[in-house]
Amino acid sequence: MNSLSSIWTWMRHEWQLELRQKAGIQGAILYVLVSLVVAYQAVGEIQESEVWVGLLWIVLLFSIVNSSSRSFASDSPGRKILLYFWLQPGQLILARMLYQMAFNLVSGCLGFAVFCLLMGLPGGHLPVLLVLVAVGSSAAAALGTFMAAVASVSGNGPGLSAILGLPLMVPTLMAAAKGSLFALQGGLAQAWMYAGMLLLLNLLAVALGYLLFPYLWRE
Amino acid sequence: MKTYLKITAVAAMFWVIPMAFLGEVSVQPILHETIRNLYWHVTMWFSMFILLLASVVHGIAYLRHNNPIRDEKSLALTQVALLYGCIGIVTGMIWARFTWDTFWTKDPQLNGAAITILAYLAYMVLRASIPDARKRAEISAVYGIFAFVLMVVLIVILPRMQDVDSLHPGKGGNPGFGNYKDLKNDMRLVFYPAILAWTLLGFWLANLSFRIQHLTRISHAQS
Repeated sequence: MNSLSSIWTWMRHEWQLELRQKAGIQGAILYVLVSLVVAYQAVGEIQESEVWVGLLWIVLLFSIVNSSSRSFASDSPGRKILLYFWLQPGQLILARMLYQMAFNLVSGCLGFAVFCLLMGLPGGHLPVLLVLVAVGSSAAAALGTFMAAVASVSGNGPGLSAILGLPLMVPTLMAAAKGSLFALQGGLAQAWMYAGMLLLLNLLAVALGYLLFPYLWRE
Repeated sequence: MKTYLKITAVAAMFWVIPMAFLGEVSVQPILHETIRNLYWHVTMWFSMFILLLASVVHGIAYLRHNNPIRDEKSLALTQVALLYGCIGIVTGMIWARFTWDTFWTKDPQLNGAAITILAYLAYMVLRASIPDARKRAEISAVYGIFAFVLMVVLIVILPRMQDVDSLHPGKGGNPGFGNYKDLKNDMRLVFYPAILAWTLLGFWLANLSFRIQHLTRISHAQS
């Protein structure tokens, strides 16, 4: 119970830090908006569901990579020592992963709303699409956060976390895109199956991060 | 590597290579003689998978005991697995050109294979970016385990989802490997030894590569 409450405290702390240094949140929102506008300028309103789904997930992917790669980037050496003594490694990675997952879940849904506004929604079942966007974004965010941790411990900037994370996120996005395509074309049962698989992926990524992070953090 | 394993590898290759080119194969529409690629292309993936598994086992062992030898072995196995992966892709592309009339197609297994290779190329980038040997070993072991588990889940499960359209055998309504034999010439008599041969050859290659890198490291440390 104690460790759960400290994870929760740390997640709130991350959120407060984010509110205080407004650049992070504003940057993330601006990033989504700009990429949406670029996509809209390039393609315009979309009729074909394949193109719609592909573009949606590319926009979401880049916003996820952008925001999750920040999660370990702003730690100064002094703050790292503080974290080292304050939290157990498992608590730290869980707090940051869950925070990023929640953040990207919300920003993914908002981005999705703006995307629908600009590009139109070519039919489909909205609730399952929303669920797919939510679980897909959070799964990719969990992977991105862990890769941000790897990049940070390796002494490289957040640039490396994108290089490491992108190949690992591709299968997640393939599943999410496939599920969304079913949702658009009326294959509801399959769409829910993909949503369930993405949910399992969330759990798997969190579990792996929890198990492996202590080895990264023992410097 | 034990000598009897090397002898087994060579013996298996003496059986597999002539049989792959000259042995009788089952006659299938569209495939015809290209079915011989079964012994090269398909087996590459099996071997790559086994090599990566061994690499992950060494990675886990490194995290437990911090023995740098384990990291060097893990690296050598990954390198050979990457080589096998590239051979697998190239042989697959050639095969696809003659049966599906295209080098590359939107097939979940093709893309899964390509992503696996990308992920392990990222592993090499990660290794190259860390100057400190101990840190490099630790971080790349963690990344290797993470990537392997995710890749296995996604590469093994995703293409097997019922609705996925694939041109590969046994999926999307295509006949499976079980149909590729008839009683007279059972291709499995070559297929399974081929997996054995390429896998053992891979371990042998990895072993040599590990020994060269290990000696280089020691001689650098002494000089």
